[in-house]
Amino acid sequence: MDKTTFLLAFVIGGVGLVTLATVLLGWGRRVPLSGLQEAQDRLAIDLPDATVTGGIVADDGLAALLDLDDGRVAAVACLGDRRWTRILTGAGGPRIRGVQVSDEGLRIPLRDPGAPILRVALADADTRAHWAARLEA
Amino acid sequence: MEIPDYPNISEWAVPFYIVTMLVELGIGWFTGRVRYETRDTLASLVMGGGSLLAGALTAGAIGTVSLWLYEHRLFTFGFEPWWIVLAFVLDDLRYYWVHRFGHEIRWLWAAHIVHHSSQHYNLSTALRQTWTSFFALWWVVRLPLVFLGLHPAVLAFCGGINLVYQYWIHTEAIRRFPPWFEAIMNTPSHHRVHHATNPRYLDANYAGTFIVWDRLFGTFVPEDDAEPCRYGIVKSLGTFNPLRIALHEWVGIARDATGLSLRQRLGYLIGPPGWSHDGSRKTSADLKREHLRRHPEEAGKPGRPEVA
Ligand SMILES: [Zn+2]
Ligand SMILES: [Zn+2]
Repeated sequence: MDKTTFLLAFVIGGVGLVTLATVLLGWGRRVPLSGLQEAQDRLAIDLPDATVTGGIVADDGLAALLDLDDGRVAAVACLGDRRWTRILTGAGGPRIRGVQVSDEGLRIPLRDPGAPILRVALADADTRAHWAARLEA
Repeated sequence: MEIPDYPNISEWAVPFYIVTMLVELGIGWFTGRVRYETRDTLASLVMGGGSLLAGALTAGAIGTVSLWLYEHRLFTFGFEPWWIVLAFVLDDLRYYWVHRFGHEIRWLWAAHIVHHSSQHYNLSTALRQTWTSFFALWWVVRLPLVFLGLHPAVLAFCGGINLVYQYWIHTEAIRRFPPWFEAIMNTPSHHRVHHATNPRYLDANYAGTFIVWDRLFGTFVPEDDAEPCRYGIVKSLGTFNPLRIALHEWVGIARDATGLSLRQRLGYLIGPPGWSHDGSRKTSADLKREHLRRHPEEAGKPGRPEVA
């Protein structure tokens, strides 16, 4: 085996081994939001001046939509065991490419190369329609 | 002049990386002080592998330019150990500045953001490396040392040692070293601050191996136990996709810089990250100022501007 093949095998084997170890230790599970308060607290880190007036946590806890007092809508979403936030509507031009509604909830493609998609599981049709309308307004 | 055949440190370090990550995982399991996440880890390791590949693909071009420049050098340093030590120190100074530019100039940040894009801080984060440093021209900053008379092979060897040094400091398993060590060397504590997005920790501790550069050039901020580090980038990523991790900031630059005046385009290309032509975004300095406005009692502490 030449050096490059050996190195490649070692890298691939190592990546597999370390990744497998994280799974075995139980660190492969998504960690959903504990509730609206956690989403609000997380948003406050990124947007300390924002005031949240209401919102909803997705059925699976993997995202939350938050109403701000200035009329904007913000999102807090889960990525593995961490969270990311984005302002979805309001000043600064369109940030969403439309809202796709299905029986499971909302699928929101974003104009953001670092966060291409936001999924919000909402089984209740009225809630879904309300938020779809808020986002498309 | 005989040029020694230096080993490729980054390749030799691979087994060491694997073993130490497994050890850190074990420490995390037993103590709870370290946290990994499967897909975050996988993304970081894929970025690391890709970076190794990108480095191999561009080494020839960089080597050709460097060797040509070396032919026109000002002085000639040999390959004796003391010159290697000098080369290491100078190359570490070079690293401080290119790393600082990498945070202050968006063109370079677009490559370096990859390394900061995980919200975790563990040994796998160290391997989350860019694929686009050649394109971002990071390597150009080493050329003055070649022109001075340090052989490219020596500098590559020193750079390799520097990178491996920086690997082990990406951990929460180690809190602090004795004060004398923390005073001279870059340590897990100092580098945690570098990876943190807390306003007071932004744009601090650019050191590679020696933290003295930050102390000298006024960018040193000590870790404050009262303010735990929040890791990542100001605008957190919402994806584990390696291609998006590698390219998202470049796409952002391209989008921002279209349809504007030349001056505004240049602002997006070489201004600080967060600069915008209409003031709609925030730079690190803005974030620090705003934080201080909310917490005036913190004025004058390290990492905070003096006035709001
Ligand atoms: Zn950095
Ligand atoms: Zn780092």
